Amino acid sequence: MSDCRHDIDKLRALAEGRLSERAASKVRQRIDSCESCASKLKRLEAIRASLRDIADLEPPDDINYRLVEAQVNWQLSQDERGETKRASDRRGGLALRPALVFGTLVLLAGIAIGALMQYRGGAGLALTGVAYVDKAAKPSKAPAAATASKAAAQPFDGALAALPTVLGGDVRVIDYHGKSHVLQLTRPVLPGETLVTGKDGRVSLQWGGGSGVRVEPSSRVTFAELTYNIQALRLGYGGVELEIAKRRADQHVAVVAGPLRSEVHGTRFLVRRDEARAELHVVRGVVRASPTGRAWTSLEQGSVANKGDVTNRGGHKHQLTNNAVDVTAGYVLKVDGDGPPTLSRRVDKNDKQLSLNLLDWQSLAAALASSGTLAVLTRPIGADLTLDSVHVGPSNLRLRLRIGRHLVGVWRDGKLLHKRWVEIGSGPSKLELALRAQEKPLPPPIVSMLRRRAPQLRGCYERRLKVAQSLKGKLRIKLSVDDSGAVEDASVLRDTLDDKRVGMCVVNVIKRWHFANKKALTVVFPLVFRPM
Amino acid sequence: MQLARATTTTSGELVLRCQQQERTAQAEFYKKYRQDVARTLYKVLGPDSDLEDALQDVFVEVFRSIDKFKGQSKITTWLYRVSVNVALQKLRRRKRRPEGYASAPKEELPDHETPMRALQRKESARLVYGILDTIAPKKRTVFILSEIFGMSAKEISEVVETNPLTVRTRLHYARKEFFKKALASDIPIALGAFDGDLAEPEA
Repeated sequence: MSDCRHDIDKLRALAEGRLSERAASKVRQRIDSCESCASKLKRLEAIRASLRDIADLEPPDDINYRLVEAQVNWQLSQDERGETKRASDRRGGLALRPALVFGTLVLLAGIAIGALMQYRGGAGLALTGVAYVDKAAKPSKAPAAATASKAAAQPFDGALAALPTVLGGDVRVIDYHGKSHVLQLTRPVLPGETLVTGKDGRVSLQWGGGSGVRVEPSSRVTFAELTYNIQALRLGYGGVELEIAKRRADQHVAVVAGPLRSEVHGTRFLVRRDEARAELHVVRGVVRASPTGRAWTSLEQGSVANKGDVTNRGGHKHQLTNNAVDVTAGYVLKVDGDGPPTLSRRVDKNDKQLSLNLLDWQSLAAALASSGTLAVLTRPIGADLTLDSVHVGPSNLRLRLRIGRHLVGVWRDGKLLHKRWVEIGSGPSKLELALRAQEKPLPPPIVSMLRRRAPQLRGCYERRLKVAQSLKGKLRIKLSVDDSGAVEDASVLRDTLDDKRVGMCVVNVIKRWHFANKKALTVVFPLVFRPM
Repeated sequence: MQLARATTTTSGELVLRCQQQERTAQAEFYKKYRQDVARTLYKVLGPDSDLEDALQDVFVEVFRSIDKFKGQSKITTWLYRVSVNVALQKLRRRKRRPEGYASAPKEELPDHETPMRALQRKESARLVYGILDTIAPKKRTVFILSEIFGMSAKEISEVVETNPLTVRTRLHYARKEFFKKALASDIPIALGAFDGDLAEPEA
């Protein structure tokens, strides 16, 4: 083949039929006398045939278009809600840039936050995140969000499903067959099913964009109807808080609690039931209340019984017409048995602070289609948790999160003890994020020194990081300070880094420190290093 | 009102609604064009690419920048453009393999029996993309648009947003490089090209 003197372009032109008849026959004549040219031409023709084959190729059938759509929607919804966040990120980015330039190190919060946490008397904390996305996983029934785009496009009467988003304590679901199971985050609650929460059971469920319910502990609620047009809940006992994003004329949302039926006109309300008594707290908007049993003939406001229109001081009217009363925000309607309802102006202060933190349609779609589970466990339990700066409740919690990075904050007594980015990513993966705590809190001078001198310690790590790029690990340092404030001794008790020089450097750095408060002390603290 | 409209829409109307960031329209748009985009990406990126990832990037980009679509070209051309740009980004990010085609994993085909046509196609595609992986992304793109999509230089110029003369130049060098490499490679390109023409002993 190498002795063929023909230009490839000419042979290609011949193979593609781009040569004139005369030129083609000329080339052919020469090819006939040159075996390698003929072979070359044959190969060229074969290559062209391969290209034609590719033109007919179709992409594989197993593309998960739904997952892609959910991810696109999620990204777009992030765009929408992320304007202010991006602005703040940009500001944060400026601060981070020098760190990125100078090295790829993170001296993990182990120094400052760990120490700080101890100092503040926080107890041991363990964060475990388990994140997975099963691309092939499909919900058993078309859940609310899976049909989100369709639902938003046109009304349909298809069954929805409610997605549990926050879960704590004992929550069980009773299925069609009357069987009781522990509610799994991955399992949507279907129409006809009943949720039962234990003494510490907390769960919020969402079935539509911005619409959902929080079920209080010690409650039993049945999702009697859960379709796009009708969402009806039957409250056996306990309490539910509902938030309804928007109500169209043909959409009905109702809660039946014994003698009281509450139908949504507005956006947010609570219903509580205790045997024959039922209460309706309207937090926002207007809710139409009607009796489920004997008709109401009068409406008592405080001690005053009224018939017909009831006007409160704010000028709002509570109309008792057609055997129903429209209760506006700030009012509580109480019904005891078949007696007349009582209306009073009282809404718990706490009610106003509650937030269901509901997702919009797109985020809900994303949550169903591409999400993982994060478990946040603290010891002792009861630390307040924030997720992406939104308060989600006390620990322990398991949350279903969209894929991507999320910021988990752990608070106690209004103070942020710990914050941590967790990555909910694709593929079955397990995140182990544990921060070991000491038995004793670190004294304040040590904490402040560690904070101030963190860059020095980082330097020790960064220098070795240039040699070994995957270097990471933890040092456990013992530090003794004498009564003059000078470091008497510093040593490495445990070293999980694969490089002894980091430990040596750190010890040398620490030995040069001098503490202003002249008090003898000995402490042990961890330093965690990992590449960023 | 919008709900009723959602059922019957022309491309223009659909684009307009997408420009108004109507989510239902976006869903409809996605459904309508997802396969075309997947096809384009598959052909530009080759069979060993993460198609879902690229598809996601394309549609995110489409919905983010659909405002910029002024209707001067066909929506499909514009979609080609976005897809090709995303594919180019992906290609640039891909680690260049100097001898990619030579190191591409070979699936041994049985000598004694004729492989199925589909398998042949896949195999030949893999070999071709092995060579294409060694060609610069810009040249590769015009080559694919011309040789595989059968686009004219003018059409390609609209997609890659350059003038037709540049396209011709790029195409010339891309062809030259591709065929040179294909001929020089030991991989029997003819393997999947013709039925029954499996073993082509080299001179």
